[in-house]
Amino acid sequence: MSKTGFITLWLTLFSTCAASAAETGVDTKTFEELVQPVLHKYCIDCHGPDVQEARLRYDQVDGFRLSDRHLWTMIHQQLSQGEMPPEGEPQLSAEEKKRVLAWIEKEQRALGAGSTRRLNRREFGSALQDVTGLKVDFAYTIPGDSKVNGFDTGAEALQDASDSVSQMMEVTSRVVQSIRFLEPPPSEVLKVDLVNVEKDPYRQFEPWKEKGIHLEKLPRIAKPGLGALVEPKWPKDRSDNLFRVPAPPDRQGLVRVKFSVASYCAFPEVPNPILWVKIGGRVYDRREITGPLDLEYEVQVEDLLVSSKGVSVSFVPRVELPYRVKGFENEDRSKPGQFPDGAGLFRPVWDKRLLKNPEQQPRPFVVLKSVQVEPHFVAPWPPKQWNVDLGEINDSPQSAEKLLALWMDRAYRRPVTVAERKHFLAFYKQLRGDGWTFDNALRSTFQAVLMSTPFRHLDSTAHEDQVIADHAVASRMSFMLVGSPPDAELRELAASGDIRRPDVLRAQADRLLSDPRCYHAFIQPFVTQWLEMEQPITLVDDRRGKASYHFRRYLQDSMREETYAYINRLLVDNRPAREIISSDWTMMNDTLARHYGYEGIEGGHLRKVKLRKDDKRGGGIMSHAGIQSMLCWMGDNWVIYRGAWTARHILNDPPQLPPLEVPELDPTAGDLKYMTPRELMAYHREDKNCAVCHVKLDPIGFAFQNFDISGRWRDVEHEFYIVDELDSNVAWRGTGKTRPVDTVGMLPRGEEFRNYDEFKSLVAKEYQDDMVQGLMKNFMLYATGRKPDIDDMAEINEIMEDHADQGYPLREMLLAVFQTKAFLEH
Amino acid sequence: MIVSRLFMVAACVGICMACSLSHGGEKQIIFHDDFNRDDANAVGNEWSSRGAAVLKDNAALFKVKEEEFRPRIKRTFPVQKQGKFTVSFKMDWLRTSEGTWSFHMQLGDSTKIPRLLIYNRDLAKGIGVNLVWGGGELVNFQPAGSFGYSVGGKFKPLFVINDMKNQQTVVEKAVVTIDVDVDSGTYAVTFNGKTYPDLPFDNKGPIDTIRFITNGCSATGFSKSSIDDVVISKDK
Repeated sequence: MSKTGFITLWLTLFSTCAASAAETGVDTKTFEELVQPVLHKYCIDCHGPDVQEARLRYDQVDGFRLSDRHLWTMIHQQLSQGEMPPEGEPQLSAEEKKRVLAWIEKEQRALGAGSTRRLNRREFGSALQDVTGLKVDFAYTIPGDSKVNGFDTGAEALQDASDSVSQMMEVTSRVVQSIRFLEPPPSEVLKVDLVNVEKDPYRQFEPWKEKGIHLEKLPRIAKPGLGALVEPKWPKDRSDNLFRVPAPPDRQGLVRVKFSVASYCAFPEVPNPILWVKIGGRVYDRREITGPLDLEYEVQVEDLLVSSKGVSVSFVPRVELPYRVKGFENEDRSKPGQFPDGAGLFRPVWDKRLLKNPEQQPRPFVVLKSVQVEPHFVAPWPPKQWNVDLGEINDSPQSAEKLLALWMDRAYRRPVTVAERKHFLAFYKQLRGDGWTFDNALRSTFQAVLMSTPFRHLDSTAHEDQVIADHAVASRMSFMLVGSPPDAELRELAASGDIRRPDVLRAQADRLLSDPRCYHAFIQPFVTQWLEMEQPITLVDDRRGKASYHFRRYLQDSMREETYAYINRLLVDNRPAREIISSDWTMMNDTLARHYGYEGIEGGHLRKVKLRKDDKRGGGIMSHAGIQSMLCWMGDNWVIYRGAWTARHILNDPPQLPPLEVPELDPTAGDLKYMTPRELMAYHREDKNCAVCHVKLDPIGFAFQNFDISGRWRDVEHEFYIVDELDSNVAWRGTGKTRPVDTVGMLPRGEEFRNYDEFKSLVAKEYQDDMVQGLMKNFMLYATGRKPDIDDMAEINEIMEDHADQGYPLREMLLAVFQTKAFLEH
Repeated sequence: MIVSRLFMVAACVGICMACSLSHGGEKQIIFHDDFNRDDANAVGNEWSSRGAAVLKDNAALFKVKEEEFRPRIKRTFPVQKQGKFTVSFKMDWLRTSEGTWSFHMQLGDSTKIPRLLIYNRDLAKGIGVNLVWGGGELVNFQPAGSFGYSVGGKFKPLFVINDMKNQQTVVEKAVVTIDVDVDSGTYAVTFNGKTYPDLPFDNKGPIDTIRFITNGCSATGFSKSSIDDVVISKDK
């Protein structure tokens, strides 16, 4: 009964709230009489049934459909700019062109925005955290979203499908089981304080055994007044668990673990420890511990590996960087002839029998001050930190209504009407009538709210109800920049109707851009998707370069972080767009400094570093090791991948997808192995299907030949590279003679360069506008969920014109996006 | 050095003349190379090569080092569009330990033979007569010392030259003779006194190229790896 009621309620709400989008345009007569004949006369020869250049086929287009919006935008752009039909082919008359362009514009506007979409996975998870006040990653089990132009915010891909709805149903069920109203907590809080322990801190945990906690490798060193010292692990050392917590009944629900920590080391040269916290086999945290810190983890047991002894809790400090300490010999595990001193795994060694005390030992410790565990955690709701005064909450319809009102207000990210609440209240009452408890009836009602469209979807900023539209502006801006629903300030501005004032919009966007959450919520996902940084970074041992990567995981992360932090810094400092391409600085930490050959940079945090004049890489994202390394895969097709990536993300000139019938170019196969990269590319272009794109991509890709597979600078390349295995690590080893790196190439409009420096200068000079336009299109898509259409492109061009004199300051350019009609009226 | 070069030129001229003269009265020599030239880093006499194929001890030596399709040598001769002709050569090929390898002697059409060998399928392109020695996964056949021919991308074994127990017993200075019938697209191969008739061309067509290819042969796997006395002739 209750399930049926729930589904009926949900279907009713869903059907009344879901946006309906018109599928086809309005003026089919003009299409049939004018546009279709024009397509057949001027376009079909190259984009028809026989030939589909650029993979486009116009003979099957039967009007202006929503799904074809991008196609028509492209046709409009190419016609209006005179790019098509190409030179030498019959051209449209001025009158034909004018009428076709007018028809496209009219149809596009008639079709409406189509930007209403559901929350993507990140946003959905964040909205659930916001409404519950919990830090649980509820959306962990939801599969990643489909993408539009590489971005997970595209409305086309974020529509309801039966599988996504059923997954959300399951997730929301868990969410409401994580909160309670009148019920008592299901398990007690277990806590151990270690600050004042004199010795054998592990003994403090003994009482936990009676509570079912399985104790494993607990800290044995006490430092009275500070806490228990946890010894660091080294790369390849296996992790140990502190203890195992018995799983909640049915292996469902939450476990909460809290640590109070600090770091300790008597030697200043020793790097800070990196703390890894794993719960149930899943890494929940990895951070450099520089001082006192309180850490809290709320985890869903359903997302974890659970053994018969329960959920494992692993707390492991790691040293992820080699170091030396004056007065100590360094251990060197290198083998004769391999990994000479200066590379590889090394650390100070000492006689543990002589130097027993931690203050004598040159290694970093994490101090564990206290540990707290709640084996079965159900959070009281509303959370204390909200400071909400609802008066006394008891088992009464009034209390239920107050709680429901608060839940809905938070969930819908806008004021909720009485009419909207009525359905849910009736559902609650029905459940109570069926004998459900206060808590359970309210949980199911809350779940119904979470399954309704206003929670799961972002409203249109052009919604006919102005209140909803204004709150949609606040929601969209907040989700984009800080990854969560709007805060009180935004909601107040939306409620007052001031949110659309240009000065308010700008100030709010500026405030959110300065919010610490922006880095993880906007910079990281946007840059990752813009620059395709989900690709793995290849790090391989290079015996000739005397580099090994026992510390690879930390380095790989640092390599990615360099690009995120660099773009973040450009936005924070409102730097000109040119610095995306070229600058005299980068973001560096100790690990990257070692990789790039810089000295005197300590600590794992990234900071702005002025590049040495003799550093041939120079600044700009194309010089980042993470970018150049991810575009290599065991050296396979560097030139092509790097060329294609640059065309797509820097030159705003994305290549077509490779034709299906062309085999992949394997540079290790047969005679290809003996070719220089340039000969290899020339061979590949012998196939005319390949040549279409490669004639443009290959000459760009040669610009990056100075970057080796790990993204470091090299002046020479080897005749051959072979894949080898060493100590179970893959090595990409150069063999044979060396030769100067060949970096001669050409940009798409014919500009020739001889080296990387000339390439960057040319791109900055001749292609900056292209790059900025490409970036603005991505900002627009990310903000609105739509690929920019004709009107959006006009607004982008207007923003560019307004900021060209100042060199396209990036923060200003981004702030301007929130003032566009594309953002505010769709 | 100059004397040596003069000698080389004279030798080449002599060989080329031999190509167009009749030999022994009954056979017309289309091409003949006895490799009786000074040791050199190239095979010479218009043999094109990829990889380390050299002239040593009056034979063409393949300095094998576990490479794909290398070393290999190729030479063209007057095209044979119809009728019959005979190819013979001496093979000095002693295997010591190699398990996965192949050696190909091929006759084919230069207009269809690809410039590069990249994948295994390229080995058959433009090739009519396709004889193969080898073993292991490269020819999909065990034991490692098998002899056969290839057609349609499949290796067809004729007999085992040597197995792992008797590795050094057979192929030293063996003479291989191939009687080719261009019209029917078949050939017979005689090797160590045994003849295998009516073997089909891999691809039917004119023949104007002879090619020898080593594939995956390691330096330690062979104590001898050379060929000598290549003769192509036809009935007058």
